[in-house]
Amino acid sequence: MTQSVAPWLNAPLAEFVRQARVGLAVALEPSGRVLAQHGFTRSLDVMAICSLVAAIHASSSELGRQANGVPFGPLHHGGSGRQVFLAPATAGSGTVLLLAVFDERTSLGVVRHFFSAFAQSLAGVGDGDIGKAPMTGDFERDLGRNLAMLFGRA
Amino acid sequence: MSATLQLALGTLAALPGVRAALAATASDGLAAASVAAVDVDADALAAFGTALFQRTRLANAAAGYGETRQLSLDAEHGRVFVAASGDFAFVVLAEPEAAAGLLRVALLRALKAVA
Repeated sequence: MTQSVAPWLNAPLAEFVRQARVGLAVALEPSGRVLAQHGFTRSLDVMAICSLVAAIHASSSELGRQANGVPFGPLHHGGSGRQVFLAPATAGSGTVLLLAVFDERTSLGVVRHFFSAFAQSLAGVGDGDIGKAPMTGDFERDLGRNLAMLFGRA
Repeated sequence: MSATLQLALGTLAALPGVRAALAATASDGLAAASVAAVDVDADALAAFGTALFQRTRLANAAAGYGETRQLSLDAEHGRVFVAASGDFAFVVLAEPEAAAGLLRVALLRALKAVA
């Protein structure tokens, strides 16, 4: 089930998960603040993954700037059973990171294809829509609040 | 692109009715090389062609039919052919009136030449 604290992400993320047949998906801000998730049952897992994804994205972006002049794009890690796909998408004037975990039921090519559709659907989101999930300026409080909302404790 | 692969793709793409011929990784569905009409999304064709093939391969193995060699799909507005060996796959997109027999033979020959 797809859960979200950002209403504008509900439909695009649910569609991505359904079409790309990924098992787990998390959408977050580059800061690590979770916006939506699918497939996770424990808030601690989401919190840990968001921290790691934010760090990976920051590192690879900076590495890209150093080596290539611009941040690197999507990132893929292939494991023996599961694989990870991480890519940024533009929403309004900000960025949304999408992490997807998938297995042999789908493929990297299919996940990439539907990520493009996901990114396209976010391209139509305006800053006004994004403002419906306000930030208080206190990262820990925002993260805790979003996790509580996602896992039904708010 | 290696000369052998270039020749194989060129031969497939030159067959009557062929709109795209591409080489891809069968497991990841990523296009490695392609010769395609400008309106064909080679990445999408690689992703979905190989995904179909992998599903068919699993279904055939589960049904006890052994290894899948080739997949052909006829639709109202076109035909898709996929042949794979190991993690290497050829995907061909053709017009509905393209000669299926000729394409199948050419696909298997190309696969043999490259693999």
